[in-house]
Amino acid sequence: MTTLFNVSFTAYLLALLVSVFALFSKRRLVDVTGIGLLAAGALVQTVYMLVRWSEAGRAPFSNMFESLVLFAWAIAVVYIVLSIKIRVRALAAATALITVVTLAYASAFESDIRPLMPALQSNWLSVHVFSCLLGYAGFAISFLSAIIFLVAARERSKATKEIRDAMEETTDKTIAFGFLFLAIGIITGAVWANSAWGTYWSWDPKETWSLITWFVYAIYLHCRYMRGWRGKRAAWIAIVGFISILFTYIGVNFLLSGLHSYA
Amino acid sequence: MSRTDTDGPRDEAPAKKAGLASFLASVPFAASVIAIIAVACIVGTLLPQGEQVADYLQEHPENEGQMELLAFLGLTNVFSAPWFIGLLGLLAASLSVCTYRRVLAARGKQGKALGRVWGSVLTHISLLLILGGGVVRGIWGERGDISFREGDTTDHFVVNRSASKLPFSVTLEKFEIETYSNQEEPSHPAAGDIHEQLQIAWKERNLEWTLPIRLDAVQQFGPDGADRKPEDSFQLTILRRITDFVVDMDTGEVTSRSDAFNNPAILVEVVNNGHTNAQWAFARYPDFNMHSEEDKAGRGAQLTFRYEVMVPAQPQATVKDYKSTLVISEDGVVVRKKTIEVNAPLSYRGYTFYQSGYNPKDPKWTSLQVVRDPGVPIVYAGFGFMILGLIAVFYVCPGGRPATRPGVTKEGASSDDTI
Ligand code: HEM
Repeated sequence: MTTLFNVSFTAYLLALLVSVFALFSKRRLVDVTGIGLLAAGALVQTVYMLVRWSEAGRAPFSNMFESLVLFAWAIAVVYIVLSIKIRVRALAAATALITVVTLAYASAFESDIRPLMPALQSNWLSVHVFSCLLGYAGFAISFLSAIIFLVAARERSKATKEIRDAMEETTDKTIAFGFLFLAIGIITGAVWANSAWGTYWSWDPKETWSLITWFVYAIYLHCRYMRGWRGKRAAWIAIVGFISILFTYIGVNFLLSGLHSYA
Repeated sequence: MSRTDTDGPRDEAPAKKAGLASFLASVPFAASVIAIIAVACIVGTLLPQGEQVADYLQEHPENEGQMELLAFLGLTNVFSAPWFIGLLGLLAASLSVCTYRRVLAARGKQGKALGRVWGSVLTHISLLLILGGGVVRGIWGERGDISFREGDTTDHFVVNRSASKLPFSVTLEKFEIETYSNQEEPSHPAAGDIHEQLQIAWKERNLEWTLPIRLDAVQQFGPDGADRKPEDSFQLTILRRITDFVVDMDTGEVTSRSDAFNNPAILVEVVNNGHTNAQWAFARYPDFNMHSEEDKAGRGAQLTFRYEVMVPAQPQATVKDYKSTLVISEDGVVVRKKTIEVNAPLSYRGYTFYQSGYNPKDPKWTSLQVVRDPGVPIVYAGFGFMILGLIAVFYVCPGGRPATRPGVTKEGASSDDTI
């Protein structure tokens, strides 16, 4: 099993090298190779997660290691789907980098398959974690595209208007996607909590932070579409949103205690 | 920022009337309320809340003044503070007004634009439903606990230390704890693994001894050397050794509740200079010696005992599941029977029984949580609407979004945004 993990890591690493090279070579073949490697990494990861699923007899989404593996996978998949329409080399390189970093960080956690405590033995758990992480992946890419936008919008930048527009569109699309899946994640979490503890909401720090994050993106949507905010201001909200995601996902586990502290 | 209508650039008619409603329905107002709620939530996760305050003060007693100030400001119970509920109320007011206007604005729209309006109306109504369900829970909801043993029946549950009556009775027919099978069952430690010793301190003489525990063996003690006198030496016998000490308050009789080392104690008899005295020493309470009923005079050598027990840590079997079989009866007639476990509660006549815990010391004892929340269906309807509404807005009818319609973004964009 570890071999599969290492193979996917290597594929992402190669995708990173190739997509950085693509920034300079500007040849289509190199771009496509980069995306292909990312896809290969995601494919191997899919097999890895399925093997783990059958070995554990449950969906492999129950601890920090497993959720980071899923996160890397989701980022790659969301990007690959997005790249069918929008291709900007800097975004490909940034995405490859973030998958490599995520998997490297995952390997810092215990990867043993452990039995689950009773409250975690629920199908809602799998749906809950899966949709949250899919949402986070959308937001991760919106964060990257917002940063690339800000870099491209500097006065000295040689970036074209096409690139800036593509990055704005990416931020919009991935935030819409993330917003929907974070909503599903929060809702399935609430339904699960209600079936396990008899309360769908208890203002536990992780719950509360996911709501805060969701509110940040609600503000993005309203400012963007109702007030017509564009450009730098919108990009900054996307960045604040992702900082809030990082705090929800990782910071809360270390800094605040609550129901979710086992994950 | 350039001028934009409160309801977005496209809608003219309903937004024209100025006043409170327009203010409430304006996006800047809504966004500000959402932002303030988000900040309040951050405060609520960073400051100790509710029961955490006591724990915090235990660790930092010097900050008591600060905590009192925070409590006074309503910051130690943010999520139930009136000001926080008030903010949610403002959000609800804003949502209501703008949803109403959306519905009016939907007239005359067609196709994707209409679908989009309905998607956003659904999204906003879903929030109102979730908030409304929360209000229903706050007013008509009830939550409490039942703890009972196999065979017990009750028609009450405990809410904040007072009893609340159920319109039926519940019997715990069976309670089972399942552990992961690949792990060992918890067993009592082998006698050889338990390390016990008795420390004796004779304060007057500044003397100390440490001895192993031997029941009924008479041991002689006293100072060594020249000043040893007959009244100085004494006899020590360990009369009883108990693993889980309990004393019957009426009879004074001492018994052991179980074989587990929950409250180990020994009864030590000292005979000195014609006086006999016996006292209990407790491993859990090393500074406490209890004179027993058998204590004759209380004179003689004043010794203090420290009883120490070291039991090796047990490999704790990991609990896989725990299940209570509940029987519900009304007027003596059994109406429902179900085995509940952590993710599978039992609902009957608006009350839901959740498996919430067990007592590691008494495997026949279960704890249940009892919840009555008539708001749940409303909240769940909200959840469904939310998902449908967002899918409609983002994926089914995205073409109707103002920003993707030509002409709108330019009008809405502010000068510094054009890069
Ligand atoms: C946490 C609370 C809220 C959430 C999650 C939320 C969510 C949304 C979403 C997802 C959209 C669609 C955005 C898009 O087109 O991409 C939207 C649009 C909108 N929201 Fe909200 N909203 C919230 C609160 C409010 C409030 C309080 C108001 C009241 C002023 C409001 C007014 C609007 C309006 C006017 C639109 C445009 C609707 C349309 O074009 O049909 N929202 N909101």
